[in-house]
Amino acid sequence: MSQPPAVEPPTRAVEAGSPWWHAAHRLARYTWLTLLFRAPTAALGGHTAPAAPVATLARQ
Amino acid sequence: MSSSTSPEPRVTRRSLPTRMLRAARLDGRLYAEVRADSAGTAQAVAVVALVGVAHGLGTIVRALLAGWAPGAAVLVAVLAEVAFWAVLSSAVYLVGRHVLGATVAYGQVLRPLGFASAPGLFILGASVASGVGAEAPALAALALWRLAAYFVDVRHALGLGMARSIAALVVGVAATLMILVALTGALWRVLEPE
Repeated sequence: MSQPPAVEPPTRAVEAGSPWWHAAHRLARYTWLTLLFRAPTAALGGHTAPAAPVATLARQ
Repeated sequence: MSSSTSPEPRVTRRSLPTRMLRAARLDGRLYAEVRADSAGTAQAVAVVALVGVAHGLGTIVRALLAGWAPGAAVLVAVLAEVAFWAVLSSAVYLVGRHVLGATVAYGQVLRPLGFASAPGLFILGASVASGVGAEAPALAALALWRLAAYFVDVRHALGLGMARSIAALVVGVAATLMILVALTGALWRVLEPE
């Protein structure tokens, strides 16, 4: 029996807790660049809106 | 009268506040004038320094209103302003000259780009707006204003058409953001080592 193809794990860059995401979050939070970072970090899976997972938990 | 993208206009000495006001009003003739004024580099440095100080103060205001400690955030805000100028001007120059075929020297990109950051002085107003829950729209408006100033600046600095100017600006901003993220991460590892 052949082995199923290995699933590529997510790269560090797109993990919410990666150093890159934290650096982008800090740069956006502390500077005028918030708007420029909001859409790209959301596309990469960053937590730009912490209210969303909280609301999800509240419904469960 | 020559067109807006014509060669060097006549350079006239202007006071810094007047030039900053014209830059904030997206006056294309100001950007062409500063591009040609090789003695105006000190004024461009002064604009970026002033905006950097305003950015630091704005971050303190936002931190106090939001209840988080300013601390190293002020350093990030000030350094980001200076680094944004240096990196974006380099990226726009490299793309404009070596990819898009603009005939321009680095100083002719650096000077007007410093003046294009003049709307950044209003970061203080945007920071105060965070006290009434309007931080996001205020910062969004400021970002759009600054991007508009950068577009007018790049168009006159490179002397290219609209499509090529937009391309240079988009590539420049994207490259600058990636480098700034890397610099912020490196700075944070120095400030708060694990």
